[in-house]
Amino acid sequence: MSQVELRGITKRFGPVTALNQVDFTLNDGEIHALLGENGAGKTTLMKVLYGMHQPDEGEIRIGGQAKTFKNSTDAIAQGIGMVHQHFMLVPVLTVAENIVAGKEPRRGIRFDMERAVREVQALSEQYGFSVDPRAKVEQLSVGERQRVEILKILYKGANTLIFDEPTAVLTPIEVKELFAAMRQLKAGGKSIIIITHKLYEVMEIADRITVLRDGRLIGSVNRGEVTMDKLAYMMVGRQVALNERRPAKKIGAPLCEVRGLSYRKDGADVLKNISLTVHEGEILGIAGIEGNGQTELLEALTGILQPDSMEMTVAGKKLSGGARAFLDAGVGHVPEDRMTRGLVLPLSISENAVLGYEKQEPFMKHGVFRWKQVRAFADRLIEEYQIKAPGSGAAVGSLSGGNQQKVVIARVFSQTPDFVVCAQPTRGVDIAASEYIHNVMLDYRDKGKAVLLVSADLDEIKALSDNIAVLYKGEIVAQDAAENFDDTRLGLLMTGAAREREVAQ
Amino acid sequence: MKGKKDSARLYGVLRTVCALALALVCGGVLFWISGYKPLQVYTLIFQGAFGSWSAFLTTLTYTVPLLFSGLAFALASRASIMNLGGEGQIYVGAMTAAIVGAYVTGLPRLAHLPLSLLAAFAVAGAYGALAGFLKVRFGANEVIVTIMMNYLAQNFCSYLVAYPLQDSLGVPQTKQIMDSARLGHAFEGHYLSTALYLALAAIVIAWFLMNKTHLGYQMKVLGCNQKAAETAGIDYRKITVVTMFLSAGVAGLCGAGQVLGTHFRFIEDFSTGFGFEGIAVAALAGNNPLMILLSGLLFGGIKSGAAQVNRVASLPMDYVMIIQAMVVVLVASPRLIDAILKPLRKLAKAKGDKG
Repeated sequence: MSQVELRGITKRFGPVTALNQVDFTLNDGEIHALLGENGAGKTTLMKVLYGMHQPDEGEIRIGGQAKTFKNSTDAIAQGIGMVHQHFMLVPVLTVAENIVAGKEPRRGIRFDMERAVREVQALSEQYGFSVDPRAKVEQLSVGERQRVEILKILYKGANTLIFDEPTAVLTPIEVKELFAAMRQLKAGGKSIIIITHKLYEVMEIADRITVLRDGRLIGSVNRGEVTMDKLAYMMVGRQVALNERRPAKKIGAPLCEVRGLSYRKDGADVLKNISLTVHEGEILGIAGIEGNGQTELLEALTGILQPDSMEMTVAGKKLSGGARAFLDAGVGHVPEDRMTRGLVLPLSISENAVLGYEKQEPFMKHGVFRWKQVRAFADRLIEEYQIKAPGSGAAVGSLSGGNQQKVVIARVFSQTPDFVVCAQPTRGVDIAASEYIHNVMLDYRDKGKAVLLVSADLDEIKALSDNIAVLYKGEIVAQDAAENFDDTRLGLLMTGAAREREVAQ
Repeated sequence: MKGKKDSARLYGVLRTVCALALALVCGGVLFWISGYKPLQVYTLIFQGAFGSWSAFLTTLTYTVPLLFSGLAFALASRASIMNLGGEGQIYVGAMTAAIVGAYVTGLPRLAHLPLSLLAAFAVAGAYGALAGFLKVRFGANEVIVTIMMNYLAQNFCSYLVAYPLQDSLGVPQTKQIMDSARLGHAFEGHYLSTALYLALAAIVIAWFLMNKTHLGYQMKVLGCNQKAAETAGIDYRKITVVTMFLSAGVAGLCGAGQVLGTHFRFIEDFSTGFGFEGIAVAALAGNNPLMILLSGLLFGGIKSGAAQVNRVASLPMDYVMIIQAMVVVLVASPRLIDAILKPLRKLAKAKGDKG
């Protein structure tokens, strides 16, 4: 009836062919995952369907009839809606105002606020979304805002909903809630397309899966017929080791010790008496739902934040001072957000490759930069870490997310710090690059160095860590060898439902 | 791939040239409406500015203060600091130079002149650093603070020449500086002072500082991304204050150059808005010290040429201000120029694809 079909879609941007003869069929009432690495053409394909791009070849058929969309207004008129990765809401307005904007109910020439609230309330209840229509959007959590976005599209009469990487901004619990909402929508007769590169999400939510690689259709399969390994193979084009564990061979003496780390902000405890020990040849994973003090922990351990109390030693040396002192003392830092803390996007790869280490020889001599040496160094990193870039002079901001992250990883690990604080090392990074980054970390650990891993991706924590500490409301509530944790135990600890007072040493 | 980068740079240059041309065209329309013949006016301006060796030297006297003030603005911009206080810092530097030049006596020229310059640099620098300090310590917006500090400096200088430092009754200026504090003539037979060489040296030093030193690198990183700078161990407060010191110091040299090389005393309201004109110079040069040489020369040329035209054809100097302002507006609106250039680019691209 309202089946959506894309046939032989080709889209070129200048000399680049982003999509090459791609077919895609969305059946009524299914959840269809569009899977692929970054740059595979997923978002481009969906922008074609949503009328934001016009295909060079191919046609769009809805319910068997060929349609042309000049812009997204045309697509919306055909019942297609898109939930963008970055929300398009007005924070100071209420939920109801945001949802009805563009299609406001009126009484005479005046805006009918009461009716807007009633309609939004009804819509929200129909799909089991608990959103208060009168709440201001700025007061909502990210997950709630996303539901407002969904309601906005439903209000415009969408039957087909496209989600562009919807889980990228959500915490694990919010992801669960989102998936529940998607199932509700499906039960209500809506069709859903979810763009993603996360395999476990696909296996959890999708009915059918279409895989794209380098702008080409690799295949469409039913979920029951595939495994994660098979999907990874389709996505990357070769065998990938997915979260395969590689335990430490030998864990040595303590290399980094943190004692009594406490930090209070606005009268509340953010970090409470944290003590951690990371040994030679060990990756210590910090598991926890985001917002439980991870950011402050990272900043304290790298000298950016001055906590109220902390004693920290690395390789027997006591650390104090700011970020400069910590870097000099051999604490490497892969920041949780490469865009804000890790890289200077407008600057070149060379300039970023030495950031934080720029004063060392041979980059600088007698206070004067030797750019030739810096460029040579950056060229070496590009080769060694397989960074896809036109050259060391290219702006870091022009690289893909995975390659940007590789620049950060290359910068930090090439300086061979004793202790590396590694936060969200593969966030927004595609499978092939993630695998590579994981191997760098594991190899580094095997050289007898210490790594602290903080990640919102529990699978990553479980796959890489030798020991896991669970952070809940600024406290370490449990610490144990990684193999002793299962999902249930971790889940209970992370949500505060359980607590094991086995504080490290 | 290298070609791609070069073509991007080329496009940047094209965009600037286009903005400039557009400003001249708009100015031309203005001349036309006012009853002048645009081409004739521009020819006269060009001849007045570059028509002879002595005209060129005169142009350079107009250019020198713009080089300093443009450089001052560009230095701060490198760290994403808007130093709009150039004008005030110029007055502080000028007053300092005038005081040291007139009241410190008994020094040989070799000591007195450098001392006057250094004092001007240091005091004006400190005045600017104060704005930087307010920014990092109390979160004050440097745009507002530096603008307001212009009034402070200018009016305080006016007070000084009206009361304690007034030379002869009723004339708002200080007494003449000692001979030992004077900058010489750059060329035989023309009043262009050696402040020109100072400005050229400042440009080279600033280029070196920005591109070759640790401080320059830190300014750049800080200017692009403060959090990344913090993470990399760059002291945001220190760099901000130091940058403001250097920027304001260079502005101070602008004032000192005028006092020690041209007027030989501090005269009330001697600056015709050099500090603000510096913004235009730096904007046109894309904050690149070496390009400031060209853009400074261009603005200096327009001023000098227009002054010449003013003498022979009574063209009001205000037109020059209008052209200057237009250049800034157009250079600061890259999207507007992009829109104008778009059809041209498409054409070039179509040709390029064929080739």
